[in-house]
Amino acid sequence: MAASPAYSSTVNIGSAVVSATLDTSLTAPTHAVTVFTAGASGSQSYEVKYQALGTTVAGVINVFRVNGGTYYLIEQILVGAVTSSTTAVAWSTVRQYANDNFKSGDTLAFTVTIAGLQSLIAATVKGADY
Amino acid sequence: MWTETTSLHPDAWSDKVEADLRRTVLMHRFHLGALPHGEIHYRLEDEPEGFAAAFDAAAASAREQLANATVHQNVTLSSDGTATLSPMVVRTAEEYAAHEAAHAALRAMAVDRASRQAEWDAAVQAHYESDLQRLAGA
Repeated sequence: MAASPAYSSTVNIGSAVVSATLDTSLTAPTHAVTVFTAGASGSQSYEVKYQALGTTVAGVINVFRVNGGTYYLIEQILVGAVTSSTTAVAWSTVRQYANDNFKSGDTLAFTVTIAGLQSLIAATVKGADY
Repeated sequence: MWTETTSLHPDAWSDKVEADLRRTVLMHRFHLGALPHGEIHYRLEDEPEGFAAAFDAAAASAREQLANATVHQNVTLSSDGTATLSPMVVRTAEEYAAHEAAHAALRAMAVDRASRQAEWDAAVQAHYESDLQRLAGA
């Protein structure tokens, strides 16, 4: 047993825009985009923000933990149909986590499923490395 | 005079988007629809004269142009009944990676150039000192 508890110490933030190609696979997507890569001693993710870059249609974001090339679906997020414009804000959502840990080498990746959402969702993971 | 711009993939344009934009323009440009306690209240008869015709013409133009578009567009509807489209620049993860790689190559080139400059300076200095010694010995 460790003499003292481990705390994440070095800030690790990742951002990416979802792929230009739709992907509906829940087990083996081929167009997932990596948002976050865990550090050498593992990492923790506190918060993920998903922000639309324009007008959205109703659809789903699939979020995967990727370990050794294998994709594990860990969350699905519903995107609302929101018409953004010069005077109306776009769709966004924030997910916060208390225990979202990643092993060294793990990544977080995401896809979208519906035409109209391709290249239109930006994700930012706020976390830290152990 | 009003304009309203939205950014979207051509596949996302719909009757709902048109209706949303219509309501947005009316609410934010003409301040219609907001009751004191915040409830949205919107009546067709509140529309300013000529607005419906101008909006419908602009929306129809947008719909027509979007039918031929394949990439994301910035769509601006205008009170003169026109719609203007311009491609929306979306940097994909792949493009971002290529951009970063190009920058890394440029940085490496700059570092290489700096180290070669130092090498050149040292060679010039050595040559100069060699000349001085030769002159001193002559």
